[in-house]
Amino acid sequence: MLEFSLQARRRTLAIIVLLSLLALALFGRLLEIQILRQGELIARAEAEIRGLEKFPIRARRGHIYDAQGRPLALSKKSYTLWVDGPTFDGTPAAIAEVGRLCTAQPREILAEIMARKPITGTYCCAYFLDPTTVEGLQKAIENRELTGVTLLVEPKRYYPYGELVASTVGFVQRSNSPQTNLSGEFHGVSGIEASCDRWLYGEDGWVSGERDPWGDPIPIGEREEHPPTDGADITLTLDLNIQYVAYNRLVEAVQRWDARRGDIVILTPKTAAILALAVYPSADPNHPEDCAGAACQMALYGNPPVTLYYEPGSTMKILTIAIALEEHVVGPDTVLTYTTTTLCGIPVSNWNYQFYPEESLSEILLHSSNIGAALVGSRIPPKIYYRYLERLGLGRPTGVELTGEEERPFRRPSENGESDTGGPRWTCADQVANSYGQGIAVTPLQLASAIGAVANGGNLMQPHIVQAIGRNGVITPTVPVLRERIFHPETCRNVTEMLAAVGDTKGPDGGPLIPGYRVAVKTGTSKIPIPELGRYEEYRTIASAVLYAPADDPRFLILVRIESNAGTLWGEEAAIPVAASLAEFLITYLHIPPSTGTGGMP
Amino acid sequence: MAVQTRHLRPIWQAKIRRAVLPRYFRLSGKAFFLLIVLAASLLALMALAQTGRVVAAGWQLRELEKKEQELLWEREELLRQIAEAASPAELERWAQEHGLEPVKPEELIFIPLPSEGLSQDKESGSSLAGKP
Repeated sequence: MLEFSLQARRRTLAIIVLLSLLALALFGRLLEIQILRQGELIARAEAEIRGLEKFPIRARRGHIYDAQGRPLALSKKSYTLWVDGPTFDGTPAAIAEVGRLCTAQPREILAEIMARKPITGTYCCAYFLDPTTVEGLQKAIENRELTGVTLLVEPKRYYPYGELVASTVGFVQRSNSPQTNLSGEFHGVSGIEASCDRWLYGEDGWVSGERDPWGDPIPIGEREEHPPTDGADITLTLDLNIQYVAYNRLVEAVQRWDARRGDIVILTPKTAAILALAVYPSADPNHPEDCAGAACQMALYGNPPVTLYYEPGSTMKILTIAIALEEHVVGPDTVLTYTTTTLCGIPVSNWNYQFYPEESLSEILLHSSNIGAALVGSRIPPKIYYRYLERLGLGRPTGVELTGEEERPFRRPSENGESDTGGPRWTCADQVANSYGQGIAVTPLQLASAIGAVANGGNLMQPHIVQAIGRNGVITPTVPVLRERIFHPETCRNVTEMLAAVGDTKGPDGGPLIPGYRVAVKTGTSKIPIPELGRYEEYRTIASAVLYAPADDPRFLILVRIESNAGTLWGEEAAIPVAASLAEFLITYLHIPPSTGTGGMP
Repeated sequence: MAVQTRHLRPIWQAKIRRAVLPRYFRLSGKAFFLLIVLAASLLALMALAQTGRVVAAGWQLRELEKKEQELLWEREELLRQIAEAASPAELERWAQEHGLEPVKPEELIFIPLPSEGLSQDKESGSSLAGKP
């Protein structure tokens, strides 16, 4: 019993001694860390641990979809390569791989980095590297064959359909130079990317907390987080199938006629929802840095159907006649008789130099008579005529959700006789020329919107391309906006009937343009002004055509514009075939039944 | 040891109870030291385990965040694949491969539905809907 007690005591003593030694060792270590090496360790921690600075958490940029939900703009995973001068080192093969990928820095800096000279600073060596490209580098970093090299994940905006929708969708660019190891902000430069940037971008969040040298948060450290709000997804009214067909037809036409450029607007007259905006030449928004020529720049940074003004030519006659009918200065059965071709002191001639002494309104549109349109236009009191053009939105931004729209006021009569626009004073000759679409500039979208008002029974709708905005599963649809009621339905019916009569003769053999369907059509061929010289180009023209169908209940309106390269291009030969071909496609695509009483289906 | 304390004031009752009842306070110096060391070790272990759990949860959180990011990137990649597979050019190529041709307006066949028949259908539909 005594022995056992002694043994127990010894064991207890041994445990006590052991634990005491352990406690002593711990105490000693604490003494060393907390007191003896305090200053040194604090300095080292401050150097290693990133303080409580706020780190931005980038919001995910929203997607852009077409009307059928196909993504037109999304984000793609890419890497940015950073090299830290002082710590950069590795095996020769790994360093050679870095050298191969580094393209973003000047050669001299790159050479110094590659030679591993003692340079200070961290350099961004390459942007937007594809994940497959950096696989070798990632392995080298993991295997510690490379030091001082960081690969940061960065979203790259990707446009799956490239040049097909480049002008409309636009593109993004980094808004700040990446001086730190943070991804920069990407903002829209043109198109929907720019106009809807505030929705697409969302709201960045931030995180404040201690981080280790690799930038990872220290789990038991102090941490505060404000999560980002991801950008909203935008769904457009644009239908990619229609866009594809329109673009291809445009490319064919521009190449066939060796034209300089062209564009097409297709919208729904009742709501002014844009179904397609085709532009050629176009550019690839995935590589805006490769865009050098003027045509490419125009396609990528401007949106010609929305921003590029032109003199509309004979397509303007639709509006002149509609205004004249609405103001009752002529009736639908009026036949104009004239003996002179000089109006307001300027000689007016028809495109084919033919003279028709008597013409009905329908024949004016059928012959595309400049003299007839000028005479009708001259009958409208000037202030009323220009007030209508203003109300129809010509020369003014349409309000569509696309960037680049500008106001370009046209000359009009003023109270004091002075020019409103700072140019030459308005004269009645202006109204004569404006009546048949010369001397006045519009954008295709403005004209399509104005003619859409004639097609839909008199309502000027605001063109729109955004169908819905979706965020966190909540979808907010846009509502068509009625800007103004311009014409009475009776006026529109009469004008449409006249345009449908034109369509009935524009087929290949002088028959209907599209058998079985009543199609309202008007062509236009306009001269191109040289503002600096105050005259028109001698030969070059802009061929255009406006078409809406079915005439009695239009489901779509097409405006085609093709600008010739050197010679004269007529709307009849270049633009009408494109519009007709598109109308054929749209009739089948939208399942539009034949018009009654046209020889089609009963 | 029974001590009658009822006649005392409450404060004295408490003082006597504390002095008499918890016999474990009457440990020897060594045993008490051992107890303290054991208790401190236990507390240290508990704190270590807790810290370990926080660190593990932190790592798990980081891994989940990484996974979430990877899944978001995967979603983008799938969207890209959808975009390419559903592109009009791809559909056109597929249609041509299968010998399909674009329909012309005159080839469309519309079957007019008689309005009377439609109303009858509606009526019959509603009567059917009423059946159990």
